[in-house]
Amino acid sequence: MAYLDNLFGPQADRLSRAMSKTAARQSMLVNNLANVNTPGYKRKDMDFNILLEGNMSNFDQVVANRTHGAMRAEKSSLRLDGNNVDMEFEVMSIATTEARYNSLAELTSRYFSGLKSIIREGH
Amino acid sequence: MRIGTLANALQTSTSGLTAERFRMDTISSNLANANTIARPGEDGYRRRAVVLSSTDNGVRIDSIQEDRDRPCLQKVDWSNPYHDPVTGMVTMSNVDPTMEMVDMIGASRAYEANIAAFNTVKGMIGAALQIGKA
Repeated sequence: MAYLDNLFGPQADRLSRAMSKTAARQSMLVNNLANVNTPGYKRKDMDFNILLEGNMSNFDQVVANRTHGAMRAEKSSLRLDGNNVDMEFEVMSIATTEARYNSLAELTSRYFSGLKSIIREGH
Repeated sequence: MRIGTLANALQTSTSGLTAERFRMDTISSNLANANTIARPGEDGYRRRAVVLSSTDNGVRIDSIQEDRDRPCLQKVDWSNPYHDPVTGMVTMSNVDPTMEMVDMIGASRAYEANIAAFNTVKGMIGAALQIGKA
């Protein structure tokens, strides 16, 4: 069984975790957009650009530390109703997150086809 | 509630769509009643506003508030059967069509944005399902 655990390695785990983080951020951004007309609503976001700058050797630890308290309200409101959602910014962030998610999905897909190729001895 | 599942994001978008659609309905009602004339002894039509509040998973319609602050428009119209027998005044609504149009454009744009977000999330779910196919 140890062989099977080694087969997928840490890479598949990281990819899936990155995808789930990206999905979590997308969920928050969509929530912001749904509340664009709610008085007093403050936008929520997750900043994981920091994660990418972190050292890969302690990558898992950094991810674990960041899991909680990642939600934060930012930017003060310029609107009369106390809402600080900027529709253009949200739509742009959603597009960025979508691209990130799709590239992660593509990476995961290629990782597995590489694995398959090896199992079939290159056939 | 679990944050981060894409299915949740779809529900969030849907709640946004419902809320914006409801605002549109209210605005339509306001515009339709802009020229309504009140029966004698009754109050004129009051502009209605939707109150939204945020939940863990999207947005919720809290209530509809009637605008009691602004007075209803009054004018003299002897030909109207509902006029005041002494002064000839009729009571109209307190709807300002310009304000309603501005709100309508806002609700319409927000609705479109929610549809775009919904489709994006749908595409992401599709991408996740394609993993391992090739």
